[in-house]
Amino acid sequence: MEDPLVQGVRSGDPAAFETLIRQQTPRLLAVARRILKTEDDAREAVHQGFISAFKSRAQFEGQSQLSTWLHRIVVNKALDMIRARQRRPEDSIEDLLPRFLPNGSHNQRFITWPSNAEEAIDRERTGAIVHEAIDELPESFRLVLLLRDIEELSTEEAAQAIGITPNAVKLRLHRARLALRTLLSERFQLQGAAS
Amino acid sequence: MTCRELSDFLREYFSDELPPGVSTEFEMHIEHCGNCGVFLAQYRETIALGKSVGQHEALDVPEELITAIVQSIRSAG
Repeated sequence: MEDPLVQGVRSGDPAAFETLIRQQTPRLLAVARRILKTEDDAREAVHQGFISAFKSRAQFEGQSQLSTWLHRIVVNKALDMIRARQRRPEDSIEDLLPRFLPNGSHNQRFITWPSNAEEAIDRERTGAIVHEAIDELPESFRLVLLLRDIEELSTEEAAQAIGITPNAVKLRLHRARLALRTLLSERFQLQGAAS
Repeated sequence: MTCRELSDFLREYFSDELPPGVSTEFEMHIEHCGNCGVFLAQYRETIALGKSVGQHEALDVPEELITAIVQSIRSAG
C-alpha cells in the first residue's frame, strides 16, 4: 500500500506538496547552503528544486524515499547554478598538499592536534572551523568533498553529478582531504596557541 | 618505504586497496616513523570532521521561502 503522501505527490496534489515542502525545506536549505555560498542562491536552489520535482513528479518511481529524491534534485540544481556562474580560474591545490625533502621524508614535523580537536574548543566552534576550511578549498575539490563526505553521494553518483569519471572523483576526494588536513592544522594550531 | 611513498599509497590504504606486497611495508613505516603516524592520525580525523559538518547546522527556514515555494507549486499545477 503506497504512502498517502507519496500518492498525493505523484498525482500532483498541491496539499501533499505543501506538506512535503514544510517537511523537507529545512534539510534541503541546509544542503544548498553548504554547496552555494550565498543565502539567496541557496534559497533559489531549493525553490527551483521543488518546481523541478513538481514538474517531474511522474518520474518518481517510489524506489527511493521522497527525501532522497528531493536531495538529489536540489544538489543538481545547486551544481547547475555553480556551473552557470562565470568563474575565475580556480586556485591550485598544490600548495596545500604534503611536501617532501629529496630523501623522501616530509619537509615538516607534524604536531599532534589536541587529543580530539573537539576537546580544545567546543563542538559548535569546531564545526565553524571545519566549514570555513572547506570553503577555502579550490572549488572543484570542495564540491567533491561536499558531495562524497557530507551529502553522502556514492562515487558514481558524484561523478555523474559533476560530469567527471569515478576515478577522478576518488583522486579529487583524496587530494581534497589532504588539503583540508593542512587547512585544519593551521587553524587548530592557531586556536591551541591562543587558548 | 619513504614518507613520500607512504603518502602516495594513502588513498589505497584508506580504501583497503593496498597491493598485498605494499601493505607490510606501509605498516612497518608507520610503526617506525612518528611523523607519519601523526600525519595519518590527522588525515583520519580530517575525514571524520568533514563528515560531521552537517550535524550541528541550524535548520532555520524563513516562512517567506516556504510561502513562495507553495505559491509557485500552486500556480504550476
